[in-house]
Amino acid sequence: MNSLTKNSTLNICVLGNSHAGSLKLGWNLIEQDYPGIKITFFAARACGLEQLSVRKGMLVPTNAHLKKSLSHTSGGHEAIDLSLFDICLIYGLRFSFPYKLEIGRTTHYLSKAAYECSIHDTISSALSIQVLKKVRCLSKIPVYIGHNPLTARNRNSFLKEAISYPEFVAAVNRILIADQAVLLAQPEETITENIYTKAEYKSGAVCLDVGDKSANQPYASEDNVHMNDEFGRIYLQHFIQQIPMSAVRQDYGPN
Amino acid sequence: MNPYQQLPEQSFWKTAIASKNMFDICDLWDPKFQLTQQHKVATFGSCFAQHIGNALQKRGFSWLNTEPAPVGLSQANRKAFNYDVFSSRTGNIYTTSLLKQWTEWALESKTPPAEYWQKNGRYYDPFRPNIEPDGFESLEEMQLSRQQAITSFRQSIKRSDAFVFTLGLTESWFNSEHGYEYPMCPGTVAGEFDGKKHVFKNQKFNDVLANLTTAVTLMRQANKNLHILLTVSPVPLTATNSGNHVLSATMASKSVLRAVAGQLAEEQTFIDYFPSYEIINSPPFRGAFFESNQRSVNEHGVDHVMNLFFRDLEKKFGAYPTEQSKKTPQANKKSMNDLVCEEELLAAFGKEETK
Repeated sequence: MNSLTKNSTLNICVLGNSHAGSLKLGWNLIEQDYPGIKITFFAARACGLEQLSVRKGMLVPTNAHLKKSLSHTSGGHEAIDLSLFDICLIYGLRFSFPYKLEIGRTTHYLSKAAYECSIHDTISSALSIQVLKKVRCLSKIPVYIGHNPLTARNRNSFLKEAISYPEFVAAVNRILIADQAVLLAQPEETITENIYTKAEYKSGAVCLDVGDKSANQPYASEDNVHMNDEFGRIYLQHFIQQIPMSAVRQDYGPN
Repeated sequence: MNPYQQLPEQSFWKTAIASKNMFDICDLWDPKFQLTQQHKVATFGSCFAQHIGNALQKRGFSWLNTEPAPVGLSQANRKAFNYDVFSSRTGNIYTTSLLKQWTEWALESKTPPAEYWQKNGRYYDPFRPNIEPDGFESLEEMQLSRQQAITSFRQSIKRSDAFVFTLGLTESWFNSEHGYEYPMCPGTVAGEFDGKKHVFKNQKFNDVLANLTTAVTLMRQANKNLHILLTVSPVPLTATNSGNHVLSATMASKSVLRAVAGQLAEEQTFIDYFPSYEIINSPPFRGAFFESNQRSVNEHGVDHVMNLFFRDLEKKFGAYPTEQSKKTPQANKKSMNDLVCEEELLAAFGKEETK
């Protein structure tokens, strides 16, 4: 548990896609432990958030499908008013650990600048970075980026000599400084062999509930990228512990 | 009957040139050896060598890249970091003496000089001053990167079936204390010019020939089946330090390079010469293949040169399958503006144009 007191309040918005499903389910498990925190999810499957537009000081859906997803996942909000939130977590949204970067990294010496450009070029096309840019058009609140979960380890996983995960996180954070955002490292206890998610966290993973018939349906057994509620629980606990106290509103009640 | 009466059409200016549309001028090259799509081809040299690598990739040939860009790096940054420009990140190798220098580093374990340049807290490789857009973070990084290029250059020699080298310049800059050569005059891209230490040399025919011969001999010792294809860059000098007018300096340089390439190709069965220089520069082509600055070769010129290159290969050895040429979209995307020509940077240090 972090140092939030019973008088402190913190409004967090989570903007994400299917991966946000595990966070939502994880939050359901621990919400009662954090009475001072309110998390509002704004999620749509796949690249749905691509259709968010900056209008009238808010992030507004530009199609009915996204409007419905936002409303369902947030409990009634049809647009995202960032002024209501203290912190923003942008989660998933096609921001993946670049497993393929290993080719350049391990067989040929690469300068730090070339390496960071590779990472920059790789991630800059991610939807999460596009969403970050839109958030920054409207708000200066602390923004955290959560990448797609590392691929779950399974018997077919082919462990190559990959780039270092901590090095990747550090490199991305040097890039994100420009937008005053921070990349969250995936909680260490969920990781195995440096770059995989432990297989147990994919067990029982279900589809994001956006109010359609696929809601909470289990993913196919071959799916290695979507995680379960337990993963979401650990992730959010880890995230909450990192929130700076400066972001927390001290609510002392009426005089 | 005299010997001329038995010669083919192509031996006569009137039938081979004057009576033809310039785009129909053909049979300029009789290739000595076959290049198939399975042969690995390395390309190095002056700026123009980049066209050959691009054209080979477009047509599904196996262009050898021994120092590939990291996955994820955008096309723009590949260019900025000099990836996929030549077969390894040597930067432009303008002179035959520079080719010899790189070959000795790669194959004779000669240690590159310890010299390095610093600018604004960043480190620059005197032998690849433009290889990283903002220099290196540390001296160690610069040295490791250069060592990678040397290792990759060695692989290019050892693993290729054909080594294409485009001769670019005779004018060169040397360190008078230690005898090594810089690809660019110190003080242009980086470094500081020292008139006592940095000496200009406009290499003569014998120098150019001897250096190329040494380089080729070393390469063949490392790869006895290696074929060499020489071309001369048709791109005129950006600037000359010879004291002559840049036009006559250009013609003098190119003539020496052309003569050396021709002589080696005549003497050695494993060396061939492809006349890209003639195709771009000869009077029948009326300067049509140059951009408005009358220096840069335009896209049509490059296409025409490379079309003739492949046409002559096909004529002699048969047609190549064309399907693979559709599988290299990245090569197709490169435009003329994507070429990396360090020498052009010299223009930035010249006088401004009079308006």
